[in-house]
Amino acid sequence: MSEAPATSPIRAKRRFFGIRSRLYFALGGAVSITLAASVIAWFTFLEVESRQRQVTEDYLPALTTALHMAQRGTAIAALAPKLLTFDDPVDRNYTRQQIAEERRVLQELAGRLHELVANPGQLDTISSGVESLAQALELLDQAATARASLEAKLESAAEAMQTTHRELTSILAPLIDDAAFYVITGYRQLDDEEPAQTSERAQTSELLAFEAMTQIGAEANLLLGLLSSAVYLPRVEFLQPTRERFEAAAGKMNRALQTLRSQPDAAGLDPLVETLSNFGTGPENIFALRQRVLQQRDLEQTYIQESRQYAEALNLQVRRLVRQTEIDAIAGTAAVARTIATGRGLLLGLNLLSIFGAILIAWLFVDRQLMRRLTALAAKMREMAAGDITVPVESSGNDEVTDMAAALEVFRAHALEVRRLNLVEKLADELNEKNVELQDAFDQLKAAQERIVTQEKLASLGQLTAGIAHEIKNPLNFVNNFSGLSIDLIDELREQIEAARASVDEETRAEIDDILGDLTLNLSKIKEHGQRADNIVRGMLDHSRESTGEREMTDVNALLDECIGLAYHGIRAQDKSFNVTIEKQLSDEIKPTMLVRQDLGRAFLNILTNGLQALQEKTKSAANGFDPTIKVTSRLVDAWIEIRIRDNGPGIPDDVAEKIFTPFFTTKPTGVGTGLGLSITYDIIVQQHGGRLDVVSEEGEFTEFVLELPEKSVDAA
Amino acid sequence: MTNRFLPLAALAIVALTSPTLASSPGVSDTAVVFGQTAAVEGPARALGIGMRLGIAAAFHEANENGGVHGRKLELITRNDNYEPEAAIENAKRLISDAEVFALIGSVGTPTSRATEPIASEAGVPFIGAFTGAEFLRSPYRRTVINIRASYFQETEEIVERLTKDLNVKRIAVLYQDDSYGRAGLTGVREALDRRGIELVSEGTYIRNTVAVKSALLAILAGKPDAVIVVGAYQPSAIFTQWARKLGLDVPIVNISFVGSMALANALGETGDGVVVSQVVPFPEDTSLPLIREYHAALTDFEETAEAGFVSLEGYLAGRVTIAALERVGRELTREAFLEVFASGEPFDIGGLRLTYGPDDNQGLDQVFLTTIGGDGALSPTPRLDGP
Repeated sequence: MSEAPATSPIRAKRRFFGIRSRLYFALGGAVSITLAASVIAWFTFLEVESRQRQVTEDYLPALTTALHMAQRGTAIAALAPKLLTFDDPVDRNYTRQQIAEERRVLQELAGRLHELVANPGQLDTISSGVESLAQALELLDQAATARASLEAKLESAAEAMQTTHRELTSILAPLIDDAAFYVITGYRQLDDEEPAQTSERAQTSELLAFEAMTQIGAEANLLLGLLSSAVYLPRVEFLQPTRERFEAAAGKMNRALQTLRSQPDAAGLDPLVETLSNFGTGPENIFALRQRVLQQRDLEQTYIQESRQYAEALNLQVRRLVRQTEIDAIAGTAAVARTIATGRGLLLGLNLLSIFGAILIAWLFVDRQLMRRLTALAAKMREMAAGDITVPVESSGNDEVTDMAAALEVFRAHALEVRRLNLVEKLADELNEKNVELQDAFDQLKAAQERIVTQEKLASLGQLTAGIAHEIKNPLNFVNNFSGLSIDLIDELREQIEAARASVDEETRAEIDDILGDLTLNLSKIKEHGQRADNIVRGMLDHSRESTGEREMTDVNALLDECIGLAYHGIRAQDKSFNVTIEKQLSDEIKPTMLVRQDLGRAFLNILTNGLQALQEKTKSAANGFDPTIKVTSRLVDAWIEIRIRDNGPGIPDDVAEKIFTPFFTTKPTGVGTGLGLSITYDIIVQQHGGRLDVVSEEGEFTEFVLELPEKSVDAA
Repeated sequence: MTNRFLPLAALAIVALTSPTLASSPGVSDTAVVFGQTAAVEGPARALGIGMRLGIAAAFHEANENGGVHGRKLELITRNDNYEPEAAIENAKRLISDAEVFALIGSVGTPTSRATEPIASEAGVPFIGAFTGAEFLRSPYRRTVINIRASYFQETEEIVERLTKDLNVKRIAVLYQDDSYGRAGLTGVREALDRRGIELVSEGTYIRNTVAVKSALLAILAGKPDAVIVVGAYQPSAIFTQWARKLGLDVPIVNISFVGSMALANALGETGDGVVVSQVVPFPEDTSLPLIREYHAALTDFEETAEAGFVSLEGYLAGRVTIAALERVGRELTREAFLEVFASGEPFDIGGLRLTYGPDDNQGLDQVFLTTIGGDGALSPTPRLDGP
């Protein structure tokens, strides 16, 4: 490679107008625009607030107070006619109190306005208006009270007049009745014997009296009518004509009374007629009372009119005040609106400016100067990441991006160099791996070699055993054969003796029988033990026989049985005192299978021997009552022959259990175990027969080996 | 704000639920007070005095027997002179100031017409007015309790008897020129209309006067065969006397309001043959237990008192009131009292049956005629005889 790797670190140049400065500049501009906007907004708010305060604190209260005044003024004026109702004095008093209250409130409001309004001159007119109104109302009240007492007088006069008229009628009616009756019938009294003669009863004096009486009745009725109408006459002008008619009628009535003066019956009429006349002509007559009532009423109307005018004037003043305050308030509101508009315009301008600036920065600087070049650099980086590092990085301009491009170029040069160096390193790594593999192979080889040596040892031991066994077998054959022959001979001897039994005395005979019996027994013992020895030897031979590795039809259960016996005898041979319970549960379902019988037997024997040894050990240390038991079960599970060999020995610790199938691992003292037993067992079960071997144990309780063999033989490697 | 009214509300509830405060005016633990406005002075005084006597006798009788549900009955009587203005004043005072439970035994049509609306507005029962005026009966007024038959029933019976028994066709009327007289006149007119007969002549007099002579002349002009008088006993007596004097010997029939005994006394000898219609049993008919009880009560109350139609009517009004009070029980209110009548259960007062109902406020319907004898005593007249 021609390019030399950069040795010095890339250092960023300090630039006067780099991206940093430009970004600072742009951000600074934005911040100052925002600041300017805030300042404008602040001033606008201040201005609006002060204007608003003026409206709410000055104009609105004045406006409200003025409106209240207008209301109160109208309320007082409306109360005025109520003063004119006399029916209920309680009601009237209440109205008076109401007016006083309204007046008080009105003056209070005027006082408040004084404080609120800039131009108090206007308020003086209002205050004096309030006073005038109150005075007019007071006068009205007085007039109304005066009229009320007058009208009460008028009413009682009217009632008295009715009573007088009724009394007059009750006297006059029988008089007229009697007079008319007399003139027509001539009778005056019921006890008159005869009626008066026509000439007598039709005298001028009688007729004149009758006429006078009817005249009095008629005029009395007319007087009553005129007076009654006077009580309710609506206008003062009508009073005089009515009064004149009354005087005329009263005159006639008095003249008629003069005519009757001579009549004794008419005496009662005199005072009544006078009383009746007095109602129209006396000092407090009905006409005069009515006239005063009407005058008082006119006066009231004047006062009402006045109070109404004062109220209207007051209202006008108040309205003016309201209008003025309204104008002020509107002006204040308009100023607020103007301030808001100006602030709004300024803010809008600043916003536009900042938006324009942002667009300019984004377009000129961010997009053109930064993003495009950064995108190009990123594309270059992606290329390099994909492995293409041969093309050099182009750089333009004079800023941080240019630095980045330069740095990338340096990086690219480095990468080229690194790629070359990596190649050498990779080769070294591969070599190392191979070394490790070789070491492994070597280790395995070594282990195998050791195993072979051990196996060889075992094989020679087996051969030795086989040789010895063979040698023992011959003498054993003799023992067995001759012991059997001797038993036969004793039988023959017994027959012979039977024949000669008579010659021998009883005692001798018994003795002979005893001896013969003992002999037979001894011989059979010899034979039995000889055969036993023979079995052992045969077993030893079988065991030491070299595995052919050939499969043959094997009855697994029988094989197990045989191995159990072997193992048991093996252990008993060492320790006669050791007793063990052996439980067997062997399933009939298991049919003979093609297996390597010899190897499998060895595997079984290994496990069983292990278990028995463990039990033996535990018996020595365990308390009395420990019943060493070994349990062998076989059964068919799916397509597998499962064999479980379980002892209640000391168990295997977990850390040991992990290693028990490892070759040459042993917990037994040196020279006792080879450490190959279970390892070989494992090879036989797993590798040779394609089965499975597992151990389950609980320390101090039990150990169970689980062997599984495929029912259909699998030719494993 | 609300808190201020809480104690008031509580007080109102206590007031509403407390039984002692809930009873009607005029009712105390020991007494029930009744008011009467009637003419106990003046030309019509015999009527007011008679009514007062009857009512007081009935009340006295009840009080002697321990009162009604432990309450004694009291009667306050005010004179109205048979004038509506005075009657109005009396009724107002009795209801507002004296706080009576009910008004009882008013005398006269114009006075009753003036006072009944006052009682009605205040919800005060208006019991046993001595008048047969129609306005107290129709349209039905719940607060009014009438004892007697109406004037229309009386005039109908009078006309029936005159036309049936005597075959009279020419009938004239003397009437008091007010609502009473006009009510009688209307009754007579209607009765005549039903028979296709016209009134031959009529005369009027002013209330509380005896100026009846012009009226007599007017009636004479019609040449009547019978005269019906709708008036008070004094004018009626004077009219009858003058009529006989002038030779008008036709039957003169008075309406019950006239006051039979007073009329008989005022007429003296002239009374012989004068007929009066009656709306309460004959006061000497002692076969009726009511009459025996009435006599006993009257004598017990006032030894010298004489029995008569007017006091019997007063006694009857008192007895009906007592019976109704007994039916109400101890919890007495005006409404409960009126409800007794509106419920329609009839009353049996000493063998006399009075029936009321939801639209019937008149207890009796019978009308019969009596005639004044030569001795001034009255006797029942089932059939009129020619003079």
